Amino acid sequence: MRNRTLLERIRLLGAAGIAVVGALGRSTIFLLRALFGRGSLGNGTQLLVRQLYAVGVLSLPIILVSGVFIGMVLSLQGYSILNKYGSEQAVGQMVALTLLRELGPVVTALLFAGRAGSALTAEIGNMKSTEQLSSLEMIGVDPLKYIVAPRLWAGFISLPMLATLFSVVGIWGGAMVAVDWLGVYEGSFWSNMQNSVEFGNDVLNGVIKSVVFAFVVTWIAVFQGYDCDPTSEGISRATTRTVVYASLAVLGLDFILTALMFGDF
Amino acid sequence: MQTRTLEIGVGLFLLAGLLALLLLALRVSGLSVSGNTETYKLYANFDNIAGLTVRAKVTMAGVTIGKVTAIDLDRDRYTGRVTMELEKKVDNLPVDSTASILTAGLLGEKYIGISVGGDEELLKDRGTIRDTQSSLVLEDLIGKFLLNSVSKDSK
Amino acid sequence: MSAENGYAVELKGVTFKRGARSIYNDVDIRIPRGKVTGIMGPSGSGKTTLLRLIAAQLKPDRGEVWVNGRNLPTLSRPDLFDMRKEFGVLFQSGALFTDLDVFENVAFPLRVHTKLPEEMIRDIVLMKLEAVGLRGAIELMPDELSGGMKRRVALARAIALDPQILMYDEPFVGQDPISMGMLVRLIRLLNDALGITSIVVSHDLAETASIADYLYVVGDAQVLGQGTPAELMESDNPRIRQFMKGIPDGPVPFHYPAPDYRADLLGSADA
Repeated sequence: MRNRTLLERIRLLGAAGIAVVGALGRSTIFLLRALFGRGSLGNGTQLLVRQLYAVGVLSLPIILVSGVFIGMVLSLQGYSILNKYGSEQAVGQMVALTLLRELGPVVTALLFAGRAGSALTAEIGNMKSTEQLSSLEMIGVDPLKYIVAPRLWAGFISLPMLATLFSVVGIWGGAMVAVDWLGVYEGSFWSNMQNSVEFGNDVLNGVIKSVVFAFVVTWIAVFQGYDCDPTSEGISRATTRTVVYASLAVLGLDFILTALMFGDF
Repeated sequence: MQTRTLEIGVGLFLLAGLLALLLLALRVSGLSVSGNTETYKLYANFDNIAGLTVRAKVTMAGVTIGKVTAIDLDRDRYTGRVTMELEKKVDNLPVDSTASILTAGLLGEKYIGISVGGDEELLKDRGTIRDTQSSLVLEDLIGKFLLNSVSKDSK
Repeated sequence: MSAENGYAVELKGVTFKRGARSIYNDVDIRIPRGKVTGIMGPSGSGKTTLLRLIAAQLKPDRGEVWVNGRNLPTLSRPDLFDMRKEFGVLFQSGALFTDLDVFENVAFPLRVHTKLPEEMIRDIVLMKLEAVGLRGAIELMPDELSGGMKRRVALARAIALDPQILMYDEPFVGQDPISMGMLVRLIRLLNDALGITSIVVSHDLAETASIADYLYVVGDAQVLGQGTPAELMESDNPRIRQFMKGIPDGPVPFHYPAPDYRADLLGSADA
């Protein structure tokens, strides 16, 4: 009896492993086909513009509002700690570095997964369940080209833009709190920041991070939609999976990228 | 018409994104477009540069006139050699000017302050400032303070 | 070959499996050109799967699917997308593109596959919509339409490119009697007027029998019977009789396969 349950457990483990490898394989083929498959559509740019609007512009409000608040909170916390050591003019440096290196890319990617990623999954899942994808295929249009590819590109382009904007409004919010409310001397706030922030090391590395996150989050979102069970239950499960997987992937990758970029090895 | 507003929205979005990157480059990381303003090099040897970093400011009377571009060890003299790039228009520094490593606030960033000497002769490109004052090292200060109080006690 | 012999679609020895379960096992089906062919069978007998096999959205595990003289499973992906221009499919839900209005939905296949000038596209779209009686609805969005209207718009879109083969997936499900009547008339009318080969997949007996020239009854991964509606009505095959007459219990059992009832009840008391 015990033997059987052990064997059964090993079997379940094997089945889960096969399922994971299968999903990875399918999603890779899916990605390659969507991005590099033959055949393009004449109105590709128009499709891309429409998706940039849906994915990028519509995510702006939440990104900007969160950015300002996070910058303000960073500034308040930083001030109350640095104040004890009499170096409150380092607040600018702290806010800018935190935002550029970590919070900008990471928080934007997390918000993006919640706002745009889940919407992408639900939209594509819905198209699948209402047979719009099959219908496209029957009309002789490859849904990977018409539906999936523009959404992927829109995600790749939007997220780095959003992350950059997030950092900028965050720094602005931080400056507002530090300079206008807490009375940090404005000149040293900015000069301190400018002395410590390096364009190549901090700004560009942050952008590279958000490009990587954009790739992963959009890929997960679009694939989950395309691969979901075409039922309302299946769509809601796929949407949840998008947010969970994308968030975990972002946080995990962030650690690896940080170690590679800022770690000393 | 609907596509038009959509396209305008996307256009503004992309523009804002690029502008934000530019802002980060110029305002936040202090990268200057006019980075090619003419400069000249000066060297200064310090006994201890502790804490001074490349890209630190070089100031005179509180006004930034250049930055540190390199820090290395002068092998023969066992001192830290700091390379500075100063703006060309500030070309009237006497040879006996003093360079000191200063700290903004108690624990703030380190920078180099230059105070003017009185000599007729002026520093040239690739010249060296002889008179230097090293960084304030907190450990030494505390050490001295302790030593002082000990010697007072023993009296 | 099959292009000349009067059949638009021929399935030869097709086997299709989903996991370990056979949906079709060595099935032969021939669909005559220019006629309305009904494919009937109880729910869950894989009728929609059959449509997808004919449209090459699914690949059979074994066998050949000939459409207009070409064996679909052997075609490459781009060739398939080309081939599909000859098909029109009306999906169960209509499958209108929800982000486009009625006009753009019908115009979509034209825009993708032709380089016609805008005025001509407009004329064609209006003609197709007129055929389904919805020319007045061109500015509505799909979610403003009733179920029956959606299906009619989808029909207009399916015939936009003048396909040779038109497939209907459960066209009568969930329709009120009036729109059901409209659809029945439309299917017959389009078939006769355009000389299209129509394939109607349905389990609605009366409606399908009333428009089909030829019927296939599928079930248990097999073709159970075929013939004109009248022939099938008189069939003495008990399974076909059960389906055609709608008898609740018979060869297709009322009970899902289960262990013996008594044993099951008493067994649970033991445990």
